[in-house]
Formats: sequence, structure tokens, C-alpha cells
Amino acid sequence: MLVALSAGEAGVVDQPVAVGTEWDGALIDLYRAQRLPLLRLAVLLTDDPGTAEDVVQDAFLALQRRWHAVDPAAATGYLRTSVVNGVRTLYRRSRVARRHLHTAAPEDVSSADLAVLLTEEYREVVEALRTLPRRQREVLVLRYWSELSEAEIAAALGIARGTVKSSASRGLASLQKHLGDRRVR
Amino acid sequence: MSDELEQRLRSSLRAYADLVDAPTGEDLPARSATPATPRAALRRWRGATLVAAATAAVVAASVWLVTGDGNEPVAATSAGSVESGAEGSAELPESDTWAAAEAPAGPGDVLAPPPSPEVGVAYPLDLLTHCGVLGTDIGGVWFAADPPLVDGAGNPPPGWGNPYQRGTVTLLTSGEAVFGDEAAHEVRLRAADESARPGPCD
Repeated sequence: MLVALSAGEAGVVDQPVAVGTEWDGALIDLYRAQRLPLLRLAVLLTDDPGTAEDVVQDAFLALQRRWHAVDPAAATGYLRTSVVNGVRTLYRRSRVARRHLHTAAPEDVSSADLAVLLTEEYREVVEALRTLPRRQREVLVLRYWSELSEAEIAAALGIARGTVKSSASRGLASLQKHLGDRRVR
Repeated sequence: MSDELEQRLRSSLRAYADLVDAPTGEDLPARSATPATPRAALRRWRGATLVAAATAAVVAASVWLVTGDGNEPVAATSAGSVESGAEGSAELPESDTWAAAEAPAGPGDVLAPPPSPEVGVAYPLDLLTHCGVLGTDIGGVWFAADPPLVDGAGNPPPGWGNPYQRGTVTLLTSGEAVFGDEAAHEVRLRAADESARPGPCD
């Protein structure tokens, strides 16, 4: 169903050999242009580059299957929503698995953490961000990293604009408190 | 103070994101490269698990027959139950089969209409049913199920997939749509005010 790639120089996307549904030129261009930003968005939401890579790959595969029905102008928004939904689904499943298997929560596990490479000033903010409820974190990342408007965030997350506003406000207040508390300590 | 915080948040997110390098390979994603998801793995093992459970039940019933006190009517009933249980495990009801076979297989597999859907076009949709069949988002507008279908305990009625039911959604007009699937479910959806949109379903 999917395409097979002919061998070529490393780092160069060869023209796909069509087997069923093709990756047409516009989709390949979109993949080249959006893969890294989406990967970064997914890392900002998951803190895990491996998981982020899987979520982004799945988002492109889902888009490829529906490419005939998607307005190319809206494809980036579709991918963004797909990534956010992918992250949510992953968390929902891991929560269910933890409930039944009594395994540790991701936040309880110390793993290789990209954030340790940040300066202290930035690392404090990232760590504070991790303490927020998932929706508040999504809203803040989409607002302050993706630079989306309230309406765009509402569409991406499938929530009301009022919820975007209140989530952003509560998230910022929690960050402020968290960072203030750290200063005091 | 808030401006300062916003600026600090922006800079921190940018610095964090910049730590993520461009991937070394640029191969296009392929289905075979996607790791098996828990759901896919569960699906693969479901049949074997049910067969194993049925086998265990048969063994238990046999042991009971051998060691029992000769209460044959009860034993016969028990064996009959086991047989029908084994048959049931091999073949799920039609709607459950559909839900199991077609539910989203991976995180990005959840299907949704495009941001600007057209009237009269059937778009594949994984309808979120986790808290009941309440409605769905179509092009940024909340379409409420008319009537909503909830089993009374915050779940979809029996026969529906959970957390998703795969089917198609078609806009009949700009304010009315219909969801349908191969299990013959059909739900009318009507555009509703944002205030009608339910809260997060976790």
C-alpha cells in the first residue's frame, strides 16, 4: 500500500516508487518542511524524542492516507492536530496501562533528559512546565512556541476559545508561582 | 511581571526545542516501520488469550467432573457454558468485530474530517465514544449527537467501540451531519453552541 524508496545518497529523499497510494511531490515537500517543527512540538509535549518521532511518523502516515481529501493549505494544521492527539492518546493509554499493571508513571522515571542541556534559567521553566496539567501545557506550548492565536489553538485542541484563555491564564499563574517558589528556596 | 514571564517562557521553549536536531535520515515514513502499538499488540494476542482462557475453563470443568459429587445436571450445564464461551471467543458479535478490527491502531491513526469539510462528502472519522456518543468536532464546530448515547455510567452503549468507533461523517447541511459505520450505527449530529461542547474526556 505504501511506497518503497529506491536506494540513493544518504540524506536525500529519492522519488518514491509508487505502490498503491503515492507520496506525491507536495506531500514530500510538506514532510521535508514540517518534520522538524512537528518533532520539536512533540518533544515539547512529551519530553521524549523517541516517542515524539513515532507520533510524528504516525501523523504523516495518517495524512498520507487521507491526502486526497485534505486541503493542502490546511495540511500543516491537520498535522499539528494529529501530533497533539497522538500525544494525548499515548498518555491516555499509558495511564490505563499503569492503572492495570501498576507500573511507574513517566514522571517517576528519571531518564535521559534533553532539558539538562539547558541553562539553569531555561531549565527551571521547562521543569515548571512539566508540573502543569496536560491541557495547560498544550495551550502554553502552542501559544508561546508555535505562536498560534487563541482561535487556532482552540481548533488544534478541539476546545472552546474560552477554555484556551482560562487554561493559558491558569498555566501562567502556576508557572509564576512555581518559579517564584523556587527563587525563595 | 506577566510580560517578563511570557518572554521567559518563550525563550525557554525555543531553547528547549532547538535541542532537537534535524533527524539524520529523511526516509519517508512507512507503515512497516511503525512500531506495534499496545492496541495492535493487544489485538494480535486477544484471540490466543481467549482460546487459552476457554481451554483453562474446559480443563477446570473436566477436573470438577472427575472429582465432583455426581451432580450431573449442574456439570452438564457447566460444560455447555464452556462450549458456548469458546464459540463466543472465536467469533465476536458483528459490531464488536468491526470495532476491534477497525479501531485506530496508533496515536496518529485517529481519523478526523479536514479543517474545511464540504457538504455531501463522507469523511472517515474515529468518533470519540470514551464517555459516550456525545458528538464530534467538524471543521472547528461542535456537532452534538441528537440524541446523545450514553449507557448511564459514562460509557457508550453496548455494541459501540470504546474509546473510538470508526465510521464516516457527512455534512448534510452546514448545521447538520450524520455519522454512520459498518455496524449500522447512525447518529444525527447538529451544530451546537460552543457552550454545549463537553469537557475533556479522560
